[in-house]
Amino acid sequence: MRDGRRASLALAEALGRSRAYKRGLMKLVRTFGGILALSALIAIAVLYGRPVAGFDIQDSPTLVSRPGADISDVYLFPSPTNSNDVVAVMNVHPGLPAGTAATAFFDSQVLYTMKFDTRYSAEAIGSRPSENLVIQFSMGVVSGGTQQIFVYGPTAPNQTGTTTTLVSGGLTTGTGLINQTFPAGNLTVFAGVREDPFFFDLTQFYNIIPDRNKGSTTASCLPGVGSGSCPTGFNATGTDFFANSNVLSIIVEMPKTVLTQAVGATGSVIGYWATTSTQSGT
Amino acid sequence: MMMRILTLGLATALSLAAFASCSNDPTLTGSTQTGSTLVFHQVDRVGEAGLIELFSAYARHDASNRADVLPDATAMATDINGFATGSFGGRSAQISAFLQNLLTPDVLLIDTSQSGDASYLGVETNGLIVDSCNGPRNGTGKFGGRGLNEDVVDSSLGLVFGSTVPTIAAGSNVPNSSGAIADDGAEKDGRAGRPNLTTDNVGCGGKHFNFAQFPYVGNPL
Repeated sequence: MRDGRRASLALAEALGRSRAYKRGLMKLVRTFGGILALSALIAIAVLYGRPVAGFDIQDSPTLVSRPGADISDVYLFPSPTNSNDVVAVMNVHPGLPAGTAATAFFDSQVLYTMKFDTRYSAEAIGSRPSENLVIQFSMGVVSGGTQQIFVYGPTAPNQTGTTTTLVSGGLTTGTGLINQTFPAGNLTVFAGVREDPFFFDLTQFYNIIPDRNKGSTTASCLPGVGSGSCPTGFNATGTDFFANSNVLSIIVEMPKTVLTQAVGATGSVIGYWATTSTQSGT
Repeated sequence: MMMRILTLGLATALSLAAFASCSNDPTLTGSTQTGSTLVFHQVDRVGEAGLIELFSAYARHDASNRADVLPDATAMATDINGFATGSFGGRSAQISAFLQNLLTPDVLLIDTSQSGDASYLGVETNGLIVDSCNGPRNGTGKFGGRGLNEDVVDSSLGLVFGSTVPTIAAGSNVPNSSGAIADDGAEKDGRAGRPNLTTDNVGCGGKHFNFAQFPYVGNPL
């Protein structure tokens, strides 16, 4: 019994002892699955029918077609509830409309990685950073309205750079379900839908600098530089483009010692960034 | 009855054991390979807030997203310099050089020897960037990282279009940069008839952070 899914199936077999029960269950799954699929399509249509893209939404053609790999923001801060801990956040799938908390899921073909360089202050300028500690997440296929979350590490990566493989021989530190808090070794993990914490008047930003927007080649526009119809800057009262939007968050609280006592750790300055990867690169 | 109980108990135990310690994700393992042999290729990366999006034209985004952070000191720095000193930014070469050294590589830095709140770019600037949304922060501002309620947009706009760099340069801890940097008079801060690009006038007041309980990020809407 190598994986949790097979174990789950074994458990279902033990519990489902009548064909009638199984037929009823399958009908329920199909019906619920259909609703989920329809809801997801509506959500995608609403999101990607919007006239402007987010600050880091639809950041490339690849990410337009695979929003679950689209990282919007990362955060790293001291735990508000435990002075011995730090909290790392990685947000993806920005722009999820309000009301989609039960129907939004991670992309099961994406490997989500938090990368840390715990030797940063000891490395030479120009040859840093290079990750020496990673926490990886993969997501199961959506089933029964939920999704399994698989956590690997924290541990040294098998390789550094833009290609990666699952650490720890593909064995998990812990597993849980989407939208629920669960432990993974000495980590506390949440992966699921949250309010987008980012705030920005993106619409006016694109009015000022159009060529940052998806598919736009219009030159940047500023009085004295662009045409006579350029905006005069940000508005006196800004509008948060990300109000009423959700994201899919991966949130990890861990003891600072996970970082400071990692193999090879030197000094107190640590670098953090996050990546998404797929087998196909698309 | 006893057999059923034993069967159910065994299945449950196997399930819990598999979930707890040694489960591979079946969506990644395929039918013939183990998960650890599969190779994944990067399609996106993020460290600091909106670095690629502000300084690089859309046509450059995909290449930056797929690139490692290590070459940022050349590729990303070129984009920063082009924008900062170009017709749009109009800043001096000194200010541009400071921005390149401050903002590359594109990673968040924390200093675990420091206490207090997170402070965006606080390690590199010795806590000299004062966030307009956080208000007075706890500690020295040298912890770094990025807090949920930090107004990183205004901090970034102030660096590029405002007087932040001449104000903080002398006291900062930015690599390859030392000493004071003169004000180039090219701010776009809304004063004296100049356009306002130093604040988008959006605060964090509309967000629903919950700093009393993990996971801290607001409940979904």
